[in-house]
Amino acid sequence: MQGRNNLFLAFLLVLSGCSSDPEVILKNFDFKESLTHTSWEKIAVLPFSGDKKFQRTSAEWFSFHLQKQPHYSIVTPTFAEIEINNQGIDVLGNKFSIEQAQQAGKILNVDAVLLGDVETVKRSKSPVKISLQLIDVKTGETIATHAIGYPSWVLLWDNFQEYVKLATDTAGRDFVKVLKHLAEGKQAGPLPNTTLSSDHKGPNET
Amino acid sequence: MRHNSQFYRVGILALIILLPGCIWGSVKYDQMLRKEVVKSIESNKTTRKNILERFGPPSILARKEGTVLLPSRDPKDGKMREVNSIVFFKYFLQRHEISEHHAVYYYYDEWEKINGVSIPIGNTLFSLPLTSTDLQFSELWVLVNRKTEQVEDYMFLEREEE
Repeated sequence: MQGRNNLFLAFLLVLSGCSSDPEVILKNFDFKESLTHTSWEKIAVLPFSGDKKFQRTSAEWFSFHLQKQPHYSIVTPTFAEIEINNQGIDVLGNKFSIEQAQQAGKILNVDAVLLGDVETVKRSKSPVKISLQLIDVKTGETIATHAIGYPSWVLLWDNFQEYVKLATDTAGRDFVKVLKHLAEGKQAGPLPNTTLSSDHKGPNET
Repeated sequence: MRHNSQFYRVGILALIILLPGCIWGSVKYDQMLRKEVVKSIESNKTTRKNILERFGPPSILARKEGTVLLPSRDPKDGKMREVNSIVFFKYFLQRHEISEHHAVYYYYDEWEKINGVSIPIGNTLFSLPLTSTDLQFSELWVLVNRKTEQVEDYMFLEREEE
């Protein structure tokens, strides 16, 4: 009996010091394995669609992660927004079609574009969700799609901002792996974990 | 007697559990925007990348044109209000010619100044008697030129809850 009490006490002690980031509940990744795009030099992160409050900040933070990889030069979303706006195209908040993404890529003189969508919906299965889609500007082909979601319990005592950052961090780290894979092929190591859920669609798929 | 010893045990147990996270003395709790880090910003030397490294993603990223969404003045209603982006440039309009290449990286931080003993549980801070906690706000506006990628100016304000 005494032993059981001590065990319980030890458990409580360990628990009191515990703290961890919430687990991702939705992580759906798809990648065209046969293609390696070593000739690519520049990739643009286009302004994200979705929740207006987080479109710019999430896209900016995501591109900041991508800029840490050495393989491709990254055009940031704020810069992309300015350049595309200058061509008379209002992009902020709108979902890009594949054709519009290709057009934006040509304006920015890049080889590929990354489309993103950030959604925050209270009382849904995954209240914070980020979806991404990497598109080859020349062919319009989707090279990779990814979706990351966070569960609702983490939002009981906090606001969305922190969890949008967490989801963006995960998305950024995963796409660094994708870009490494594109540049180096299979030697680059494992790609992000795949399918935890099967309902993912890219930001411009309905 | 037995009741007393059980009460004593529960008390000790509670103390052991809560003690590791205890905060005492005069401390700034949960402050993300620290004055000493903000002071390290140098106009025309610090870059946009440096700002993101030091402070993380901004609360709001505003360009000269358009609008941004802000939380309602009444935090209880949970709604957002749309305001003109130019309000984020208010400290810089006199000193800089703002172009389409300028963006303001705005950071907002709420933190507590504690005098006494408090115990954080989850995201809530429980204070023991005779402890004072003052809610404080820090705000940082950083003017970045996206063409040069450099910080041209910044403004930092700290204030207490009125």
